[in-house]
Amino acid sequence: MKSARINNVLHPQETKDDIIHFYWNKKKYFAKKGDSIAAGLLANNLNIIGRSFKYHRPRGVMSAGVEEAGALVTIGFGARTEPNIRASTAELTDGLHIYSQNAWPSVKFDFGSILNFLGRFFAAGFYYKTFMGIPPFEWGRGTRIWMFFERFIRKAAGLGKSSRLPDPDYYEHLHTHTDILVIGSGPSGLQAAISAAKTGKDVLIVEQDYIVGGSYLNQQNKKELEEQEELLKNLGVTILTRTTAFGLYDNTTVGLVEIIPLEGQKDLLKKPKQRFNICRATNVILATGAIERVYAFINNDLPGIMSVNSARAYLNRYGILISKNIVISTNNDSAYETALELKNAGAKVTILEIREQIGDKLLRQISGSGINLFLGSGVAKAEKGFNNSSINKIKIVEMTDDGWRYAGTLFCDCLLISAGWSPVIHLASHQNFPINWDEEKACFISFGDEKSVFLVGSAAGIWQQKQCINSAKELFKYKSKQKYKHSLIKGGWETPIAPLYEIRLASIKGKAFVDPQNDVTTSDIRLAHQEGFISVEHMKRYTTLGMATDQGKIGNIIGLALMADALNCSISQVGVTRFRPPYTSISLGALAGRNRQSHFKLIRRTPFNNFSLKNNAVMINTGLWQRPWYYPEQSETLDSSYRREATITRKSIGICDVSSLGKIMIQGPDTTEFINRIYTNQFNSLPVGKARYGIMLRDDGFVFDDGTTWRLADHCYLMTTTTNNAASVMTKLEELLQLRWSNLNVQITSVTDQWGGCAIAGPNSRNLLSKIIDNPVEIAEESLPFMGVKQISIQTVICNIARISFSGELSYEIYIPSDYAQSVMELIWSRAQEFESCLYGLEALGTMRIEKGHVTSAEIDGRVTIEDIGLGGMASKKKDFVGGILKNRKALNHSDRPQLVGIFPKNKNKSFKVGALLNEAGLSKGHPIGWVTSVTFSPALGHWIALGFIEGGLNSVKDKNIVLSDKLRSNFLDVEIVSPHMFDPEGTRLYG
Amino acid sequence: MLQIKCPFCGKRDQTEFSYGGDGQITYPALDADEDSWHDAVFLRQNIYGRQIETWQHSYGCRSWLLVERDTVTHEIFSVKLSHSDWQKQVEKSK
Amino acid sequence: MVKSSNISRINALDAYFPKKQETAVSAEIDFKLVRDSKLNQLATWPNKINEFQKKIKNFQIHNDYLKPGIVCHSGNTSIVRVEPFKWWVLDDYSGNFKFDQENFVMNLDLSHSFVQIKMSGIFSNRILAHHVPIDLREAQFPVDKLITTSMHHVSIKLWRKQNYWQIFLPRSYSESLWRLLSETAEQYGLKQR
Repeated sequence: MKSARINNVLHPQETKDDIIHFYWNKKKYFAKKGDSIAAGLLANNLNIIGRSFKYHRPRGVMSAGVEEAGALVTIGFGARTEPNIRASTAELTDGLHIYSQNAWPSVKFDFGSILNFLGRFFAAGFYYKTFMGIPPFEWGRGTRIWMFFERFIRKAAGLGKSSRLPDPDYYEHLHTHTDILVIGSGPSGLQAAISAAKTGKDVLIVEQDYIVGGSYLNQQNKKELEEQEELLKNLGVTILTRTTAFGLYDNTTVGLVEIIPLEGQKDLLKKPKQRFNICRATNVILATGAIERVYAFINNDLPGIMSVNSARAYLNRYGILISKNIVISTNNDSAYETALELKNAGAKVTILEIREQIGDKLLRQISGSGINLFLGSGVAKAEKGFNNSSINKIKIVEMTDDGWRYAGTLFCDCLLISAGWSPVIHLASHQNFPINWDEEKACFISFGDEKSVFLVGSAAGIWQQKQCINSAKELFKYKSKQKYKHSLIKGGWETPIAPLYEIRLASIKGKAFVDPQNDVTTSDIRLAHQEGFISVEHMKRYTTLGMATDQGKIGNIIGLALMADALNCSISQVGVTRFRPPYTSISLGALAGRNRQSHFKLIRRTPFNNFSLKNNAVMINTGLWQRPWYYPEQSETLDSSYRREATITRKSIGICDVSSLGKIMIQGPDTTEFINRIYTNQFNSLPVGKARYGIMLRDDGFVFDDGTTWRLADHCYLMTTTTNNAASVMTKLEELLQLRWSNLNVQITSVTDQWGGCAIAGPNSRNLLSKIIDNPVEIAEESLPFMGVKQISIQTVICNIARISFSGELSYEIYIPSDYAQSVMELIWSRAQEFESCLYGLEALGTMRIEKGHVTSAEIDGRVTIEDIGLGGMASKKKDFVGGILKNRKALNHSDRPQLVGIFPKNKNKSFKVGALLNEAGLSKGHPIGWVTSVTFSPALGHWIALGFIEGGLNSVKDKNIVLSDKLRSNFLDVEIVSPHMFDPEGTRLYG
Repeated sequence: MLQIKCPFCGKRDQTEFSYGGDGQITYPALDADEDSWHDAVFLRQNIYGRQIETWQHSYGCRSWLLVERDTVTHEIFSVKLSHSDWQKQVEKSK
Repeated sequence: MVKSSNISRINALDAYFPKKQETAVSAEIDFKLVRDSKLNQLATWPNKINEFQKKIKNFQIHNDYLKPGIVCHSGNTSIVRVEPFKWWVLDDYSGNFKFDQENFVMNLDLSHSFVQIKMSGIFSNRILAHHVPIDLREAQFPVDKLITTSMHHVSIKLWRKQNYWQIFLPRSYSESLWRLLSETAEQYGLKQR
C-alpha cells in the first residue's frame, strides 16, 4: 500500500503554521494541523503501526473511527505516557511523540511473531487448559506450572504499557444539567439539536471527535454542515467537542469525558487535562451513527485492508489517497459513492459486489466512470507481498449454485471492505433497553426506552442521509413535552443488503479474524461452540470476543452470525451480548478527578489546629480528623515525648485537644425518655448539671458506642460519642426518632463543630482553672463535684465545663465556642506556665487510658458485649433499652467468652506489640485463647502494659501460665494477666 | 445513577443519600420477646422486583425516607418521609 | 456575645484565606469571607407547629418560611426551613426571633459551626458545578433559595443571593473544602496567595 497526500503542495489559504511535526518511534515526520494520528502516519506512508495482541501479527490502520483495532499506539513519554491510543481518532498535535506497541525489537521485525506460526496451539482457552488446574492436578503441578509460565505469557500478550510514574496532570469533575442531551454531531445529531433548541429547551450536544460534523466531515460537500453549525450557534446550543459519552446510567444520567486541548495555555491557568462530566438530562438523543462492518476471510487483518468509509474519510477530510490500486468488496449500496470519489482522485478501483444484481440508479452512477464491477463475487483470502507485510494480492471467489468457488487472483495494494453497517446502540444496551435484530437491514436496532432516550439517524438503522435528518426533525414534531415519538422512516438502500459474515473455502487455509483487537478468529468461535459454549455471553468470555476496549464494535456481529450458523438458528435467536460502559476507554484519572493525594480524604481540623502546630505538635490523621499526636521538646522522639507528657499530667497538669469527640445536642420535652431508651444504664435520674457515662448497644445486643452525656437543662442534653462513631451514632438516633419512635418530641443536631473541646487534667488542674475563669468559686469541689456540669465564663466567653476524666486524674473538659477556642486556649496555656505543665497528644492520652483500663474502639470493635468489657453492671435490669433483648442471647452469655483484662510482662524489661496472641504455656498451636488490643509503656507503673481479651477473663486464667506470642516478630514472653484497672484502681486521684 | 425525589428537598442525586435497609420491618417493642427481635434484626427478604427500603437524605435534610424501588430496573415508584406526621405537614407546606 | 479585649473571635479560614483576594474584585471569580456571623436554629415538632407559627406571626414575615429552603426576611434577619422541623435564623443581631426555650420550640446557637463564604463572578456557577450535583440553573435555583447538598461527601449549604452565592461549610472541613474550591477556581482566573 502506498498512501499519500493528494496535493502535497500547500493550499493557498494555508500557512506554514498549518504544518506540524511529530515523532514516530523517535523519527521526525511532518503532517498537517487537524490530522488525526492515523492521517499523519498515512500521509507519510507509514502502514505498519503495531503488532497484534496475541499472535503479534503486523497491523495497520483499519478505520477512521473508534472501532479501530489495528492502529493502537502509545503517545507521550515519561509520566505522560498514554498507551493504547486509537490513532484513528486521536488528534495529532505539534511535536507529539508516538510509539508502536507490543513489538520487540521493532514493528517491522517482531520477535514475538513466532507465536503466529504456533497459532494453532493458541486457540481459545489455550493457556487455561494447558497450565491451570488440569484435573487431578488442581493443587499440584498444574497450578505451579501456570505460575511459572504466567510471567512469560503476560509479557508476550497484551497491548501498550502505561507509565508507573505518578500522573502529573490535573483532572476534575463537573455536574451538568440540561433539558436535552444530544450525543453525536453528525447530520442527525445536529438536526436533533436544532429542532430541540427551537422548542426553547436547554440543549447540549457532545461530540467525541475534535471537530463537529460526524459523517459530514467525510463528504466532499461541506456546505450543509456549515449552514447547520451557523444555525446552532444562533440558537445558543452548547457544543462540547472531544467529549465522549461513555456510559448511560439510571435516570438518564450520562457519563461524559471531555479532553481539554493543551495547546496555547500550558500551565498558565492550571487547566485540567480531562474532565469527567456527569450529565443529567431530561431527554437523551442518541445520534451516535453506525459503524461499518467487515467480514471474515483469511488474513483479513493484513495492513492495507480497511473499511470503505475510512478510505473516504482519509480522502475527503484529510486529503489522503489511501492507494492507487484499490479493490472494494461490498454487499450494500453505501460503498459506491466512495468508489467514485476514489476513482476521481486518481485511483484504479475495482468493485467486487457480493450481490448478483444492483439497482439501476447505482449502475448509472458508475457506468462510464472506469470502475470495474464484478457482481456475485467476494474475497476468500488476502496475501502479503514477498518483501513487505501489507496486502499484495487477493484470492477472489464467485457465487455459484453450490456456494463459493475460487475464481482467480487479483493484484492490489489496498482492499476496502463494506459488509454492512451496525448502528451504535451501545448506550442503549448499557441500560438494557430492548434490542432487536432487523433481518432486512441485517443489524441490531434499538429504539431506546421511548420515554426519555431516543435514537435517530443511522444509530436507528436509517442509511440515507436525508432520511436521517428527517428522523431527527420528526422526533420534535410533537409540541408538548414527553410526547416525542420515534420516526417510522425506513431510509434503506435501493437494493437491500445481502448479509455476509464470512467467506470460507475448504481448500484455502489460514486465520480469518472476527475481532482483530483481541485476536479472535473464526475457528475460535467454532471451537467455543464445539466445547459447549452456546450462550453468547459465555462465548464472549471464552473467546474474549468483543471484550475490553473493543466492546464489540467490529467483530460482534460476525461472531454472533457464526454462532447462529453453528447452532443452526437465526441471529435474533442467538441474541446479542450486553455492552458495558465505557464505550471507549477512559482515563482512571478522569474518574478520580481532584480526589487524589491530599484531596482524596479531606482533613478535618479542630479549632486548636493552629495552636497545636504553633506549639510543635506532630499531627496524626485519625479517620478524617487531624489530631496532635505528641509534642516533642528538642530532640525528643515519640517514645520519650509521650512518656514525659503522661508523667507531667499525672504529676501536675496536662492539656489535650479533645474536639474530635462527637457532640450531639438532644433537645425536646421527651429527651429524657429518649436517652433512657438508648443507653443501657439509667438516665432518667440524672439531674440538671450532671454528666453520666453511658454505653449504647446495637439492636443485636453488641456494644455500639460509649461516652458521657451532660444534662444542660431540663429538656436539653449534650451527648458525646467516640470520634470514630460520631456519624453513625447520629444516624442511628435519627433513625430511631423518625422510623421507630415518631411519637417522641425530640430533635437532635450535631454540634461537633460548634465547640472546641480541651481536657485539662492533673492534680493542679483546678488551680490553673481558678486563674482563668471569671468566677473561680464556680469550680470549687462543692460547686462542681466529680461528674458535675456547668456553664462558666472565661473573659466573658460562655463555655461549658464538665468535671470528667479519661486520664484518671482530677480533670475538666471545657467546651469553648469554636471561633473563640484558639484565643481561650492561648490564655489557658500562658497561665499554665506558672505550673509544671505540658500539652499532651493522642499517644499520651492512649497511655493514660490504658493504665486506667478505659476502652476505646480498639476494644469496642463490634464483636464485644457489655459483659465482655467488664461493664455488665451498667446494663439496667429495671428498664428496657435498645439491644436489651438480644444481648441476652445464650451464646453471648457463655462464661468462657473472651473478656477484657490487663496484661503485664513477667520480665518487666520486655516490650511487645498490639495484635500478639495469648496462649496457655505449652499450647501455642491452634486457636489462641486471647489477644492484645492496646499496648503502651506505662510511666506510672514503670513497664510495658496492655489491654486485651482472654477466654473466661481474669478468673479463669488465675493459676495458668500464659504466654504472649507475636509470631510475625518472633517475640514470645511470659505474661501475667491482671485486672484492666492497672493504675489507681480505687480512683482516688479523680478527686485531686 | 439514581435520582431520588426527597419530599422535603426535591429531586436529588443518589450521592446525597445513604441506603438504610428493609423498609418493611416493624421493629418490636423494646421489651418484646427474643424471637420477634431476632426476626426483625436478622431475617430479610431478597426481593426481585418492587420493595420498600429506607434511605436517609444524609447530606441533605437528614430525613429518613421510605422508598419504593424496583430492584431489577431501579425504577422508583414513591418516596415518603418515614415519619408520617412529618410527611403530612411537609406536603401541606409546599 | 460581648467581645472581650483578651479573647478574639477567629474565623476558621482566616489563616488560609487569601487576603489580597478580598479587596481585588474580579469579574471572573471572587471570594469573600463572612466573619462574626450569627446563626441560630429553631426546632419544633408536628404537634407543636401551631404554637410555633403563632409565635412567628409576631415577626410579620411572609408565610413562605414554611416552604422548604425559601429564605424569608424580616428586617436584617432571615429565616429558612432547613430540615422538616428545623429553621435557621441568620444575622440575628437585631434581637428579632429571640426565643426562650419553651416546650414547643428549641433554640440552638450554631454561630460557630459553619464558615460562610460569599462567591461572586461570572464563573461562580461553574465552580460550584464542579463540586455539587445540583441543578444551578436560575429557573431551578432562584434567588433566596437555600439548599443542603454534598461537596466531597461533606454536607454544605448553598444560598443564592442577588449577585452571589453564600456557601456554608462545616467549620472543621472548611480549610479542606476551601482549598478544593480555590484550586478549582485557578483555571478561571483566581490567583493563589
